[in-house]
Amino acid sequence: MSTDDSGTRADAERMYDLMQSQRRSTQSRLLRGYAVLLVVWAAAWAIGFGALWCGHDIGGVDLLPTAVAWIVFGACMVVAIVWSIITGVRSGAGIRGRSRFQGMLYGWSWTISMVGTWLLLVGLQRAGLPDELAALIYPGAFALIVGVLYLAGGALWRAPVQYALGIVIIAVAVAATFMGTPFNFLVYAIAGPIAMLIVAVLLVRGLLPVEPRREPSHD
Amino acid sequence: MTELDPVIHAPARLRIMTTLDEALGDGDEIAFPALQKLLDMTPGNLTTHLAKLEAAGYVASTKTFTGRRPATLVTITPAGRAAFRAYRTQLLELLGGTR
Repeated sequence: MSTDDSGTRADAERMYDLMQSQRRSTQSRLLRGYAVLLVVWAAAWAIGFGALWCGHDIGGVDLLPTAVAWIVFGACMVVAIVWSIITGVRSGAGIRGRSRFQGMLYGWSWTISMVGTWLLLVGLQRAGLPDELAALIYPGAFALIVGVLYLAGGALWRAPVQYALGIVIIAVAVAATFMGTPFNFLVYAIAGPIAMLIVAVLLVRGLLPVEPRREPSHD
Repeated sequence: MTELDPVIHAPARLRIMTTLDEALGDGDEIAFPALQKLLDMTPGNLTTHLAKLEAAGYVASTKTFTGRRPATLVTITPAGRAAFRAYRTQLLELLGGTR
């Protein structure tokens, strides 16, 4: 009887390990696109805000002509936004149903709140917002919205890592704005990408419960 | 101690059930090729095991069209989810129930 018991136990252990490794691999495959996207955004922030920091009359060091700095920044943002749209469209490919709808609404939340923020800022500029303040409020407002959307996404998918990233990005936006121009660009160029890269690594490794759908014991 | 559910207690089918439970929310369906990709299984192998799971009422599949191409959509049934959770609980009990 005891040999039978230990056989059952070894078998159960093997099956449990198989189940866990399959869960991890499923999560990591479903989330790989998002991990890559975070790396793209980390690069866009690092290069884009780095260029602004190095821009003549914009940043703290004078390495790039003003126009070049803005073009580099703009190009980085455009590439990252296009990548985001592609990732959004391809995400959950092959899966249909309720969660697809949920994902679609969430995707639109990004577009709507970004365009809304941008229009609001244009309105402020029309009302006479000085350039120096615009340099503070533009990245600050967008980063705040990004942070809020990560909070919402984290809550929606019960994803603590994503939620944590939201908190960090909001903290970065606040810290950068308190630093004032031109140091805010440096804060965005360094702190934002570090946080995004950490989260990207965690997503791929599936170390933390990204979408813990089931309750541990009594269900 | 009751027997572990023999329908789930096979490596290939346990992987299928785990993946469906993990990837699909309630009311979601996954296309056959997408499921195959998540599992790294051959179409024939996957079809065989899905048939066994379907016979037990743990998964359901529907044939549909995406554009003009025929497509198979697979979903985990509420009974399937319940069976998977019961199986998981049983495994945990066998392992001491601490995890």
